[in-house]
Amino acid sequence: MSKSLEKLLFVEDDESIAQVAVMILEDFGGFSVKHCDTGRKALDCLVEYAPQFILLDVVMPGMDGPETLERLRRIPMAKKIPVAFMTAKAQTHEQAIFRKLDVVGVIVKPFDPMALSGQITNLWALSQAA
Amino acid sequence: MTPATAVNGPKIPKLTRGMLRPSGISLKNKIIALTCISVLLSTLLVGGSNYFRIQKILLDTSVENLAGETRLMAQRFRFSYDQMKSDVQVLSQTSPIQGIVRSRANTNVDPWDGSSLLIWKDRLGTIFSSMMAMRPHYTQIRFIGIADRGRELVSANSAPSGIMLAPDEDMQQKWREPYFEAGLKTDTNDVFFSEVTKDREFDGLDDRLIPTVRAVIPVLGKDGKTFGMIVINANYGDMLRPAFEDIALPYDAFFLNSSGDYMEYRKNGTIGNFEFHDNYTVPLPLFVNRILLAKSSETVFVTDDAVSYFVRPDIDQGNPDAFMGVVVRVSLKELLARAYEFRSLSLLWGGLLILTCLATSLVLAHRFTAPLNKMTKEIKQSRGGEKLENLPVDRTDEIGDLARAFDHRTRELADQKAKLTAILDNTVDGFITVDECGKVETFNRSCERIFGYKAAEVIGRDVKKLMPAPYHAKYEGYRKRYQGAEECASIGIVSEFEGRRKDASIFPLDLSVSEVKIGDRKIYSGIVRDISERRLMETMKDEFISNVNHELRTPLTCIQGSLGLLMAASGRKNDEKSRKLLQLSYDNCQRLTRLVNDILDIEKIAAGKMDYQLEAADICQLVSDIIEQQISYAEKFGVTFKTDFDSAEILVSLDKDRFNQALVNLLSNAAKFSNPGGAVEIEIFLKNPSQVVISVRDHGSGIPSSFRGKIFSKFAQADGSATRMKGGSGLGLNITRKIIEAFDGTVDYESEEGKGSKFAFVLPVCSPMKMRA
Repeated sequence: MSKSLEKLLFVEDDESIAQVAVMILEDFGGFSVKHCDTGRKALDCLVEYAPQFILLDVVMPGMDGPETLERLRRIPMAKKIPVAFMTAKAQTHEQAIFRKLDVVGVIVKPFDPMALSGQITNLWALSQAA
Repeated sequence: MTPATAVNGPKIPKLTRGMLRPSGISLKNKIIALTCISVLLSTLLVGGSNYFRIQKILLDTSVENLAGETRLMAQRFRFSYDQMKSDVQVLSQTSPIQGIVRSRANTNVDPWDGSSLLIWKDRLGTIFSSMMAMRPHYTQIRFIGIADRGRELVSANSAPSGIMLAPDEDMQQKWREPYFEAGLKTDTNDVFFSEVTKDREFDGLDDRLIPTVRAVIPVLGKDGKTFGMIVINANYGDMLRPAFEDIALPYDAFFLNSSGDYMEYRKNGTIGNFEFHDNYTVPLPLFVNRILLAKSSETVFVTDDAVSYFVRPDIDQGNPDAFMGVVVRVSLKELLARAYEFRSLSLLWGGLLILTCLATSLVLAHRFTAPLNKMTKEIKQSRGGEKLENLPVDRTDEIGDLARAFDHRTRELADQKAKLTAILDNTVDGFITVDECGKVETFNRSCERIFGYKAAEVIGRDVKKLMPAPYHAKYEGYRKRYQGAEECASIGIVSEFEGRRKDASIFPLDLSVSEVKIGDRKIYSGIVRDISERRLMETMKDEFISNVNHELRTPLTCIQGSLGLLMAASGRKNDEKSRKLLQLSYDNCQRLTRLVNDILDIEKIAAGKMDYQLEAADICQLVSDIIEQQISYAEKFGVTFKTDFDSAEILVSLDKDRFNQALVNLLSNAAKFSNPGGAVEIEIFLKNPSQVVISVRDHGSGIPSSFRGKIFSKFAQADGSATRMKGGSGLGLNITRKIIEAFDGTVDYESEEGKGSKFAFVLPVCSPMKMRA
């Protein structure tokens, strides 16, 4: 592992979840988290912010998670950034669809606040090892 | 409703011209043939037997006639002999004979009246001459004395010029002649007939070769000894000829004697010469020879071409070895001419009879079979299930019965068809039948509605027209498989398929196919139900569930995250009361999440929509991992997990996530219901080589016996108040059982109140083959 995970981009349209999650990630995980409330904004700030890991909500107005992911992969510098979905679409068949996309994992809402940072670190480690 | 528009009826093999023809001999030809054969046979039988009977009768009567004729002729011959015999006897009684005897004994002078020998001789000569004049066939009459070597005393001879008395100097000595010797041995009054010989004169043959028979009678002297003999010579041919002439038979006849001499008479009246046995001018016919061998007095001889009758005339010739015979012969052809005539007539009449019968049977057979042929034509021209209009139902005979029965049955069938058609047309589901080649045969009204095609546009076409292209290959596969199958079993598949409407739109349908065997033909019937609306509803429901799930989880996420943050903060502040309240809130938040999960799962299981991603997994490893995850949970209840199994690989086919869910349910239940400080024991062992058991045992309160049987049902909790405190939806075990059953496993438990419970999964072990797959 060359580098530890520090910079995280979190895309989430629900303001309250965003607030709580950012707090958890910053407080418990010690990450530096940037939050965008739409996929569009996330794509816009991506190059400038250059995150190490992206946590992407699925159900969003306008550009949803999978679409954001697809567009994001078209940006050269974002091609290799590990992405994980965080979604309330928790049914097995729904998750199966998401896992097939170019992501390192799917975190199901509601997440365990204590375990969330650990989960993300694990996924990061997994992506780096690959 | 007008039925029969949409349904073409189950197609039966088309009637072809060939099928309507009787495959064997037609009824018409049978009638003709039977009539002709029976007439022919009876004609032959009657004609033949009559012919042979008549032939027999004719033969018998002819033979009888023949016998009569033959006897008559024999009688006539006997008469000739008898006449000659009586002539010679009469001559022996005449007075000159005794006068000569007396004169010779008395120096040539008769002592009675003094007449000289010469006078008596002269008188005898006169008697002889008159006798010969009476009998033209007598050639010579003589009185021969014994004395002087049998010198003739008187001799009358026939000569061309008339009857001549031989002068004394011409008298011959006959002592060497066989008849002379025979005459010496003959008794008085008996007559000896000699063999037929050629006439002899002066010890030599007469030039004329006249066949001659001699009748000899001895004459006694005074002393009672033979003095001499009277001998009549007869021309044998002339003697016999009148017999033939008198009877004038219409048949051939023979007269013959034991020496083999014969005389032949032909039915045209000609009479042959007398033939000597040693000098035949015409050889004796063979059959006559054979007849000569017969000993009986009367015999019938039947040869291939003739019938002959033989009679021995009863003639005493004074010689036991000599005999005569008469044979009358008639050719069979002549004899049976009438029989042959009858035979020809019989044949003629028989032929005429057969021709008449042939003509009659032709007419009759045509009349019998014409109505049948007409009916057949009528049936052929009608379509299946239609009423037949022109049957000969008015006839009063059997054909009428047949027609009425047929009419009745077709009406019934037509009614049934109308009913069935009406039912099929009014069913909501589409009904379609397809032949073995995939051609549509039936297409009901609902099908028209579902697919948008008119029946006429589809019937006779390939059923592939009704399905989108991607299904063609799959359908061909099915068709070939079923076509090949020998057994006519109902297929009965209900499967979801896609159909294509006339407007090319594609829609989901439920299809249930069954195979029907009609005769030696298979057809496939399908019931089609358009399920687009149901699909739409299902999709909407799925979306709704997904959305509800999402919308419930979103606030829960926020709450749970916030509570987590607050708990961390309160921990740092060391505010015990807040920390406890927050923990409570957090636990309940988790409980709410699980409840949401459970309700969704139950809904999915009920709808049969639970997705299982089956794969072979090492059960020990999987169980260890799951226990690992649940340790922290159990710690909350002060419970520890104790495992008792080695790490040998046991492969089970299952969906890891769902198995996780099922086992977590057991583990969390066990933890929840254990007493603090208690242990939950987990065991894995092979029940047998093909089944593995995973058991979870706790030492908690156990399950009340009253609750058994309900434990796996939905929303089941033994004691509402107590268990609710532990946090549970009451759905867990129900879901667990459904999941395990989806892996072909079973769930069971045993429990003692106050001592704890033991739940166990029994799952099938993968075979090595399955494992690799």
